[in-house]
Amino acid sequence: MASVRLEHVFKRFGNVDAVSDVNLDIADQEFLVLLGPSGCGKTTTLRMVAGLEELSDGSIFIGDREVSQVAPKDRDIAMVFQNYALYPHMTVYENMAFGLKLRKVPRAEIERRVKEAAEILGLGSLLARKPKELSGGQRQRVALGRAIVREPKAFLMDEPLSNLDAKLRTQTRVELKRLHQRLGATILYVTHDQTEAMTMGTRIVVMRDGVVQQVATPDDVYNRPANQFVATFVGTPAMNLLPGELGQSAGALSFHTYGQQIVLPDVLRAAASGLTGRKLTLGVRPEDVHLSPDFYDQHPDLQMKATVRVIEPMGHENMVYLAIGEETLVARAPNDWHAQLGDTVTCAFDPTRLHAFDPETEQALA
Amino acid sequence: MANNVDSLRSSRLQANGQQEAAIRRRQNQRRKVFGRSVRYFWLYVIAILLACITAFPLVWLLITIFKPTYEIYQYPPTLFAKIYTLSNLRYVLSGTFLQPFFNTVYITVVTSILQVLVNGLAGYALAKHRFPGRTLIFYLFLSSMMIPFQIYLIPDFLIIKHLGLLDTRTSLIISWIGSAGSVFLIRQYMLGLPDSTLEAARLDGASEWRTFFQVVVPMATPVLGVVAIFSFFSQWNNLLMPLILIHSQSRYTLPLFLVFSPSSNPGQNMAAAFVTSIPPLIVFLLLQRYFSQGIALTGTGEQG
Repeated sequence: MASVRLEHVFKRFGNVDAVSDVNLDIADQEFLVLLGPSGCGKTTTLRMVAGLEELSDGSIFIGDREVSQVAPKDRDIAMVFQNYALYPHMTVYENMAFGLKLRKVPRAEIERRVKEAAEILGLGSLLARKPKELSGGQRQRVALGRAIVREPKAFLMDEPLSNLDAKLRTQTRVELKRLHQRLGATILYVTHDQTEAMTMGTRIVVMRDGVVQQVATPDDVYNRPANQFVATFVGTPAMNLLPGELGQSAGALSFHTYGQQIVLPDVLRAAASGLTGRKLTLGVRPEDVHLSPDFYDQHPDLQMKATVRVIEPMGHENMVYLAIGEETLVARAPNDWHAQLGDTVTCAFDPTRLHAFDPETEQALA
Repeated sequence: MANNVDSLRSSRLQANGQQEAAIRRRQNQRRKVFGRSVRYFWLYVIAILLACITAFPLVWLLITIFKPTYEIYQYPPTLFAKIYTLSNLRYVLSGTFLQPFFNTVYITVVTSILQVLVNGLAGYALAKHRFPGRTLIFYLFLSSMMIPFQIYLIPDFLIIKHLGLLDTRTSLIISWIGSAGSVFLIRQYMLGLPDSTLEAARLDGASEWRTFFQVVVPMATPVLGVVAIFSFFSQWNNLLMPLILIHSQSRYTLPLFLVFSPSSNPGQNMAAAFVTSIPPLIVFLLLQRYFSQGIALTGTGEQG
């Protein structure tokens, strides 16, 4: 296995920058996930690493070797495609052995590697079958097997789970993670599914419009988002954002929105000093909006009044949609929490879990 | 009591009503079946009549092959012969017919293989490769399909003449390899092949040629089969090009032979025509699945 490095990588299609100044350092044996919405440039970045797209500018290194101008077959990487890209006229065995035959690996060695990969992936009894005789999950495993037998320096995976149904996706996610640990492989994985990114990635690269927004561990991406985009893209439901202004309340720095105010906790007070204006966007995750008197009684400075708009019972909890002025605030409440639609309720925010963003730059205030 | 009688009467009436409805339904069904049978009867009559009209010349041909000459010329003509003979077939299979037969087989087989290869590669390039002028080239191909084939005859003749290939079998092959229709058909089909499979082959280490032959060709078998069949039929029945490019009798193809070397014996001519039609018949029977697919793909079955 080897590290992969991208230095100032650009990809332009006409006047459009599909990928703009991407710098990444993927360590050996790391599972790096490229996460972002459709059209954010994550697949283009992956394809550039594979050699399937030419770089408009910049360099890519696999190990210590620069591969920017190297043909895909000579980069010593293996790729798993979204639609599996199996050869329909070949059997499972032939699909897995094809790349090895082309590299003139001895027949006995091919057999050993294919059998080993088949055993790891539970494909032993399917080796003589054609792809059309397999289920989606089995095809996906064959595609993985085809990559594994190559013993490449890095694995590239382009949304490999997106064609599977929800149950199989969860199951395969676990298998993939186990496989990563077993093979000690360097994996660059593209997905738009934040659950996949959070559960599998050693680090996550969040992209938007071809620009890297944040490179961090799943924990940091969730708990310390670099900007409003990351804050709202990661997490379901998304982080609540309340626009407002800074003011003074009882001598302390406070946040004012729709005629209500809260006193900013110490950690945000320091951060607010980095603001360019007097406006501030306050971010709070749904699980950090508390509706129980036990909590909000303890935090009188962090209380707000809100109107109940919708309650979604999820079984283990209720998702409560509250209105504060024109903004909607989502809160996770225990399943025994009850209120009528239209009721005005008190909510309070966890002071240690508040986020502040500069509305002009949309960047998080450190 | 009165109520009971009423209810009994009403239930009887109801039962009678149900029975009548069932009878009516059955009668309607019978009428429908009868109507359908009558309709089918006439359809069959017309179909059989048309089949007889179509088959009659073939039956006449087959019987004539086995008739002695004097019976063929007999007046009034008879459908069936009094005596049957194999002499006409024997003459065809041992005489001058064999050379044009082998010429045609050679030209047709080589043309079909090359047409699949050359047009397959062209269609593949136009479908799956990005290069400057790709769209222009494709439109040129398309526009060439709108020009009648006969317009090319003189330029084709001049090119073949300048190449010094007049009166050779090669001239018939190379003049028939390039087919805009085939390129169009193959390109359209290959557009539907997933790019990712070809990319997977490239990542696996396959060269362009290997990707084409080991991945693209097996995936495009239906369309390539169609092209091969149409190429086979069009070249087998090709009269115009041999008429222009071939002069020596030793290089005659079957259509040319049938036109220019008729024996004075119609039985022998019929035998030659019969043997000429056997290979296309075999090809058709073996590959009729592709043939019908081809008609579906092209919309017409025309190819040239």
